Amino acid sequence: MANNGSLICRDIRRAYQTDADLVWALWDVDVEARPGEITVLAGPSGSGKSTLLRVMAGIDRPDQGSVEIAGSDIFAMNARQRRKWRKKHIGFVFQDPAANLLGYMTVVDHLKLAARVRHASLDMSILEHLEIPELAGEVPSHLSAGQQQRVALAAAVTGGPDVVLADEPTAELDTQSARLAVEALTRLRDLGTTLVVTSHDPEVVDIANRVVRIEHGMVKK
Amino acid sequence: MLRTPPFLRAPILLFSRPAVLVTVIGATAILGMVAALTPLFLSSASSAALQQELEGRCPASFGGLTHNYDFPDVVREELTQATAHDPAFLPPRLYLEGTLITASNASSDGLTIPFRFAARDEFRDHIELLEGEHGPGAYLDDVAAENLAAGPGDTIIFNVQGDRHEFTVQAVYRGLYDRTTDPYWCFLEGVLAINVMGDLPPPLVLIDTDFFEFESALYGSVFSRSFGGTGDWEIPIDVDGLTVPGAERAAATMTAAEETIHDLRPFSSAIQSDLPTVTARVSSLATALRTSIIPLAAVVLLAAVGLVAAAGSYWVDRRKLELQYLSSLGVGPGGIAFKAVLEFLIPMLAGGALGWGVANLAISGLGPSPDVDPGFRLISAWTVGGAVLLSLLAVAVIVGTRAKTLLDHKPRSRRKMTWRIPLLIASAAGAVLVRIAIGDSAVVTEENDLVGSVDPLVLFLPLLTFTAAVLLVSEIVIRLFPLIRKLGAKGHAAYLASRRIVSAPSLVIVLIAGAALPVATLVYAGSLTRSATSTIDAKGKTFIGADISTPVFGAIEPPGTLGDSSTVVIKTERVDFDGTQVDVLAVDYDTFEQGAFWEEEYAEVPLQTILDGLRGDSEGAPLDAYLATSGVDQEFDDGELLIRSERVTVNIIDELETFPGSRRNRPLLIVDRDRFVNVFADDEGRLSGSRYLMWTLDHTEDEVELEMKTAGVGFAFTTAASTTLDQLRFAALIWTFDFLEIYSYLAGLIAIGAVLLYVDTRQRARNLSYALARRMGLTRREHLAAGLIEVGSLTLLGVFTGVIAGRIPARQLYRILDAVAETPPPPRWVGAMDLVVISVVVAVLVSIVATILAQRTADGADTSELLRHGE
Repeated sequence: MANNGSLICRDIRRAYQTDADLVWALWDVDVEARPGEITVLAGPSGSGKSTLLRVMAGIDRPDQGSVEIAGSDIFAMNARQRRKWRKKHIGFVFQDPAANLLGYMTVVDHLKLAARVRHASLDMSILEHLEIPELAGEVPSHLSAGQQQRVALAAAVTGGPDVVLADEPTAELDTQSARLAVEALTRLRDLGTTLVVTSHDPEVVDIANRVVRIEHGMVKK
Repeated sequence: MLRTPPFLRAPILLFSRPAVLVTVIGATAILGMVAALTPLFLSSASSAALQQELEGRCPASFGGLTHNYDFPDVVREELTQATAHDPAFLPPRLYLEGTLITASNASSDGLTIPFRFAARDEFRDHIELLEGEHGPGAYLDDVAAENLAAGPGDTIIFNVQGDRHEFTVQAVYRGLYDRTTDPYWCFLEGVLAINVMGDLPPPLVLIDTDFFEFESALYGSVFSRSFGGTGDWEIPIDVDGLTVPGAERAAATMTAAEETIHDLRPFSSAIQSDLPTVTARVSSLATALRTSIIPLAAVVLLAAVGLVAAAGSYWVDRRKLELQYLSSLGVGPGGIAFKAVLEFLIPMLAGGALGWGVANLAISGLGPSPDVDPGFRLISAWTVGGAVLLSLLAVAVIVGTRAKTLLDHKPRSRRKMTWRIPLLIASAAGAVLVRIAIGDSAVVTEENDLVGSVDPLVLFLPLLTFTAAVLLVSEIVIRLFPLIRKLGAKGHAAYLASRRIVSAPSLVIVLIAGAALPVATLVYAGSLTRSATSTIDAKGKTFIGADISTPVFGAIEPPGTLGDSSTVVIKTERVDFDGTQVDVLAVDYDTFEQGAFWEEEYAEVPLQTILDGLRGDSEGAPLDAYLATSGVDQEFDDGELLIRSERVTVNIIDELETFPGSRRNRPLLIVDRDRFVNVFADDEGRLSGSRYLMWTLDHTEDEVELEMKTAGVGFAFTTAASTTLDQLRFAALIWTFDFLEIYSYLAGLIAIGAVLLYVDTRQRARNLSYALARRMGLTRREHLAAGLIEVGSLTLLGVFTGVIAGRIPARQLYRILDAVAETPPPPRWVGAMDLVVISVVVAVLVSIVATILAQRTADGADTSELLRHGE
């Protein structure tokens, strides 16, 4: 499950066109994340954290700059190649727990799906690492928000993607669930996963190996 | 990836989401109905036209007749073989008719009377036996039996070519004189008809065709050609449920049979049948109808496909999170579109089948005829299949496109709707150009001059007018946004409603267009259908003067109930009035108003004024007259009327556009009946060359005939207004608008569906604003009122736009939609005001229901979750 993928963003700029003018969501952003580390993108709402995360995932194209993961520049690829590349090399966790799971699939189905798309074998031990082995046969509606988020993290790392990107993984959770999710992130780091997390949760920031503060679309030095 | 649960389970996933499932099935059912209705309607209308053509025709004339009765058994076999493969044909029937014979009772009782022998297959199944039993002998009718003083077992003597013959009476049957419209006996109408003086024709002595052996002496004598005997082979057709393709096949079978028979018997006569003519006429109608309604159906079908595509868009909104998730796993827009297609497949097939079934039921119950050719049912099923396939493609495209924009998170810049004004100008200019292109007549007449159909441009005019009207009204509303904002100061509900309206110009256009489309179609189609129907009704009644016209022998007193609803007029045709050929109608001052078809639209002059004017001050010449000059481009002045050798001065009081009994391009002088008789009757009171006609309103032909017969008043025949005009000439016209009216109801369903879908997809934003507004002190009642103001005002505006967009082209076209222009009066306008009222009521109800549903959803929403998630 461990990997050796590192993520390097260089000179990322991303603008949005509004009625009035062009708004720069990101301006010359440089970020580096390494395997076995948690990199936290911190900053107030609207600072550009989520935009940067989507750019890192290859979901959103930057106007300028490059994103290199495990030595591959993902924006040198066309959309189809990038999609294929993304499914094998990137795990993504959305802020809303319900957005990470399909209601008609059990927990083990999600893990199988992740393993299949990444052409990997199913490893159920991840559930034990995240202390949720008893949930294997459950459907999402039977899980609490915290359990859902941990299952999402489990699915995100299944198949050994180079990088796992998590968008505010504790924002929707109560204190207890958030603590369990933070523990899960720590365990994944210990497994050698490259983790990039957006958050302004102090508990998440506390476990970070690296904190990148973003304000007004720029990295605060 | 395709072998993972999101794809493997896709075909059954919608079944766990009732709201989406019902939406998809409902939308596809509407699509299926739209797709299936066109071929079904075409077949139904063709069948109705065929049945209309068959009405009043004897099945024997519709089937074939051939004169060839040599070797009956052999010919029967040949004809049977030639037609047996075609299910429309019944077994051939032989009819033999002998010449007139004089006969008497062998017992010397009774009278010596003339009669004729007739031999016909299966005749026993079609008579009412009065005396005796069925058997192989000869049957007398009751009139002959009474005159001959004969009954079963008696011997009747007759002479043929100097030879004395006799036969024994087998049975007595009820005379067939009132059975001339019976499908079996109508063939003998000429033999059985009572003449105008009420005299019965010579009785028929009926014999089965197997009674006489071929070339037996009696047969040879009675039915010999040299002695005036005739023989026909009828090739009857089962007309019940006969469709046009069936009739076309039958015509082809008959042609083939004729060739076969001719090859076998070169001297046999050709098969005479109305079938080819009738089939050609009805085929012309089907072609005309197809030309008119297929473009229309295509437009509505595209709208229905759009609705299904909107359901696809709705699916994207409802499954946003799942699509996001799948995208993070590397599934692209194509994969998501494929997944949507898999999910939609079963519900759409079910919806399509449902729509097809409903369309079939609707056509059976409400169509021009319940008879639909099985081939057309199959075509309609294929059409539905094609439409479902097209819709799946539309769903794939819309889902793929939306997934792409949804997953890329690229905020789109707000599009400025710069297309509105150019499109408004283009559609208005297009409408004007189309109107100019249509010209003076919107009826296209086929080459054979038998069937008039609607110019397809007539269907584009409302489309362009509708587009222009919707854009114009929307533009005005959008330009009034500042004013609407100001109106928002009048209260919380008004504030919220005004802000919602001004925040979404596209919603304004969607709601106005959604409400206007069905209303415009309904008003347009309804007005033109009613105007055309009313015009045709008026033309028929004007042509004969009333509902029923009955030639009578003199100025009779209409008997029984006819007394209060009839008048007797005298019509003299093609006489000279100052060198111009005119008709003269002499009307009865006392009864004309109660028996003649009259509407104030006819003329600027009230009927009573006309009648008073005709009566004048004198009882004879000079005659005062009104002149109906429909279509006559000539100035008339007082002049001399010449009837037979009588020349009388006529004072023209005034000219009228038309009058009961008038013909286009034939001036009609209207005079007082008493004065006319005083001037033109001979010494014995006769008016040779003139006809007395009893005009009757509010009665059927049967009722009039019964009253006249009961009272013993002589008459020649009756004519009904409804059968006067060639129905087929305007059937395509009426049916096109009938079809449009049916489609307007479907368009209404599509529009309601589209609006509800749109409201539902915006529900989350609505819920959020409700949650926020509640925190700012807005009450539930005010929020509900705001919804009613917002949806209600725009919907009513849409209804208003629809009424305008429907009425303008209808008013433009009704005058030139005249399939029988040569018959007055000119087209009449019947505005479908009831449909307008219904539209307003439905719009109000839909607004209320949609708002209440939206309010209930907002009430049930989890406020804290909404506020946490935002939009």
